[in-house]
Amino acid sequence: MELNNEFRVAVPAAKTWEVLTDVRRVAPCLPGATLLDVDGDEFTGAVKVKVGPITVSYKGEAAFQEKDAGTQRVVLKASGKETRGNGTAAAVVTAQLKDEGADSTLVVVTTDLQISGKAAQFGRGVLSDVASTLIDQFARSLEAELLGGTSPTPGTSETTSDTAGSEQAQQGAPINALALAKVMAVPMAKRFAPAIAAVAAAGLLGFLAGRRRSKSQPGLRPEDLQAALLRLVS
Amino acid sequence: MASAAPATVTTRYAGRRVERVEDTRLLTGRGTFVDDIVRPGMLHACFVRSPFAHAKINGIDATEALALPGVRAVFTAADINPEVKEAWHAVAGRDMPDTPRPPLAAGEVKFVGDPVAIVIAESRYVAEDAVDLVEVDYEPLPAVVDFRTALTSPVAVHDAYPDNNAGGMAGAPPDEETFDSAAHVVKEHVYQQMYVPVPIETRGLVVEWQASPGELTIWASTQTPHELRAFAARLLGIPAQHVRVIMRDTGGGFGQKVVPMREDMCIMLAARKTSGALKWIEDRRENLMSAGQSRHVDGDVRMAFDSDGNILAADIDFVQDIGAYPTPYPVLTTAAIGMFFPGPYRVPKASFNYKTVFSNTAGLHAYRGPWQYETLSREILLDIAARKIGIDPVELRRRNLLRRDEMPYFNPNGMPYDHVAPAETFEQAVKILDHEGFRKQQAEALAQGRYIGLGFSAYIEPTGAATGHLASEGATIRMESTGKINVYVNGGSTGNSLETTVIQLTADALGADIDDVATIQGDTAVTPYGAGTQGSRSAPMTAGAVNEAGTMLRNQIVAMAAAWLGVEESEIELGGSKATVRSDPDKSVTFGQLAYRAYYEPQQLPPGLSASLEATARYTAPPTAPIHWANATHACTCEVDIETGQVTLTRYIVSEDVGPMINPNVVEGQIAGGTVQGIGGALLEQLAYDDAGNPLSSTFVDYLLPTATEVPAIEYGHVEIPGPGVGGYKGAGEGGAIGSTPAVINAVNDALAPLGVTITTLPASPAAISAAIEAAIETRGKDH
Repeated sequence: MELNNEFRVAVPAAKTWEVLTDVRRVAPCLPGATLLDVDGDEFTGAVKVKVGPITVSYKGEAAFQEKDAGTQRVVLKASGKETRGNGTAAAVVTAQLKDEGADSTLVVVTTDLQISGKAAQFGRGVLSDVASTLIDQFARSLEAELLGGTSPTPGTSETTSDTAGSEQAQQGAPINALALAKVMAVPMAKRFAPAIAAVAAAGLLGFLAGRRRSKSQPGLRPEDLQAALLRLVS
Repeated sequence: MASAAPATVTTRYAGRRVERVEDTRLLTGRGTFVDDIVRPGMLHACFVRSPFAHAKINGIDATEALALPGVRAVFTAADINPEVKEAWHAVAGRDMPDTPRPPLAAGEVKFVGDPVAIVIAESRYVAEDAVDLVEVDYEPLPAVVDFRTALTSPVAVHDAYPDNNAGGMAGAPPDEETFDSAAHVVKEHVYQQMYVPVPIETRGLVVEWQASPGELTIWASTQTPHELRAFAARLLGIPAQHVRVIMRDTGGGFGQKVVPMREDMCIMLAARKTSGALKWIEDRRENLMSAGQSRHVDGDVRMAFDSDGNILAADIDFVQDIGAYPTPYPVLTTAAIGMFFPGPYRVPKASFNYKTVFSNTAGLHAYRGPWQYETLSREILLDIAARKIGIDPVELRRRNLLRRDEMPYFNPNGMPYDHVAPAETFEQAVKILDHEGFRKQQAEALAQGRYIGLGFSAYIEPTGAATGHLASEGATIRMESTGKINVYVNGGSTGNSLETTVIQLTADALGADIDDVATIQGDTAVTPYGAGTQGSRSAPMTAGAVNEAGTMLRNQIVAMAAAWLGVEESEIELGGSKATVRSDPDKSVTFGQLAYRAYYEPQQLPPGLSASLEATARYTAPPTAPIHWANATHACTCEVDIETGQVTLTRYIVSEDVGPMINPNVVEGQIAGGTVQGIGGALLEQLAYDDAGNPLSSTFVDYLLPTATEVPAIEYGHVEIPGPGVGGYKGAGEGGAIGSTPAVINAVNDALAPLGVTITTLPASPAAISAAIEAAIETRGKDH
């Protein structure tokens, strides 16, 4: 299936390009993503996300297939397998940057996603919701990174074991919970959707997992309330 | 019609709205379903299932799963499949060809959900965890997901069927001369989506193997305990008398639990390899993903009419999706769609042609009225024809429906209709509805910009068809030493109230008070062989069996009572659990007194009179009752919101003829349940797959069932034309699910007719209706 999303960041395209093509800098911006290993343009990542009754964990590899600074286009190919279970996810993600002047870049993301297993059975409707929410979140993090946040050192992105990692992600990563809560909001309003997040995240850039990014969170926000509600009903 | 009301009996329970004996048990949460069964040392099974629609299995590594504490075994095809001795089903018979059906996937998986391995563990939790640890090395292959493309696809689901064609049949070729020369010819393409039974209790069984005597006990959620027993014996190659099947309460079957499926085979075979009983309870996701598919038909239908709207010829040409592993053999069961296409109408010439095709989806299984597409496509076509010819759909049907005075009538495919009058249920439904009143309302509504519609659907249905093992049924009736009576039949509580109706019939057969009669059903150790609840056969066939055994026992009671009271047997009348002298009602003896004598003072009986107070008999449908033809007309009104595509049903009427009713509550319950399933099939339910073969509706988030808010109160009309069998009873199980889908679609199409919109691709979801309306508006825009 093809998922189409776009987002804007309030920085020039050249600067966006720089971060977007540097996996060590971009990975921490992905909601839930954990980078395991980087070898040039090839890298591995992992994710474990629990939403409601569904847990999906993937481990996989990804590689830049194209990084064309001239056309401002980057293509990433990623594939992963559930760490428990036999489901798979594969994605070709194309990001096209459009310079919109001094302080704005439009990024159009096209994801060709192929998944199997539990996560595949939620269909395009939920996956689209998940993807756009995660992309929004990604855009905000990316923007924060671009606007001068310190570059995260690769050393801090090492993941703990799957189980412990997911616990930390649940407890210590409001970004993650927030993204998931937003993901849940629309389908739940429709009909108690047990949403899934991991897959769309896989569609996003092929790897994910929880890692606390921001140093300071504002106080209680509607999204946090949603997240709390979500935990109650799931 | 043979009498079920012997002259010696005065009480009559049949025909009354007797309260269901099942209700107290079920409504107070005291039913016993298969998951309630707990055995000492019981183990739990969970299946590893394919995440791919089609893939090669390069290897299975269970090391990690086996290392998990609590896991006892992991079985794959290599362990299970070679143990199959025979795996044929009674419905097809031993000598029929069959499509492939390995217990576990061997070499290749062929749909998402295909069972690949079984994990056996000490608890279900551990088993589920271990399932995730079984590493299967899959090599994905191209899949053929849409059966409409399967016949020409380069991908073969099974190598032995390179064109994916499992087989088909054809009747007489279409009479093209008639179609060429008729005043009106109407042709339509009708696609019915995949939708499924969705029993509230999923599949499941507990199987216990006792090695030393070599005995197998199975607790099952099934519609057919005796045939499950026979199948188990054949499958394992053990004597049938060493197999016992026990079913108490089954939470709905609707066809899904008639024939043992692949998982059932796996559990039976695996249980012989494990210590202690083995339990498998399917979860909802498995049920929606793997239990099977039904309905899914794509076809072209056409009819030729003379200038007055009389049908001259009918033709149907269709393809049935059978998925990867249909159960049972699908080629013959599908023929019913073709053969019943002429329906309850006067059709001089009919033709049919069909193919059954494999796809990489869940296998076809039975669903309440499996041939429903014949009624769906015919009734949609008739409404389209009425609009084209320019007469009201009611008038078109009225001209063509068969009347009582035309019986017996052979439809052109050789179906021998009799003891049925389709025109009468139709006229009753029209009257209940107030057809003219509705048309007036409709015109007024349209003037206000509201779209309301009316849909009819009429069908004739073969119930209790006496084919193969379905042609007979057994019963044992025993008066206990207290004078209380137990009746033993295959039966079984699957929601169709057989306990209640069998007790009513038995009380009537013996002149017993209904409170003195109880029933034991579904345990093969104590009940005679019966073919189970399928084919709308339970009422006519079980009534026959109770009548046979009841007559034998009644004669014995009469003989004992005559001896006790010192009168001729012809002087004895039974009623209220006692025998009375007809000419002297003060002289009587109770069943309790007679039973005491028979069990405790048998020497007091006159010489030569048997002390037996029980009878076992087997009823075989006579040649005069090969099929008990039931018939109904459904009428539905609705309002369609043309902005949102939302359909609201406003009235729903079913006028039906199932012969005399044993219990009108039960008949109406059967009609209502089936009708709601058909409404779901018309508007909501869809077992959807994506292009890669991933099932997209494997939870109730996406598989939308109708609820009380979508279903209006159902109004019933009854026409009682006795059938040819005992008591004149006909079957009532499936009809509701056949008639309702086309009635709803016709109501939607009637509402949308002013917009030029006709839905022929199901379901009529809000999205589909909105899209059709938009397309119609666009087309009109171009025209002007």
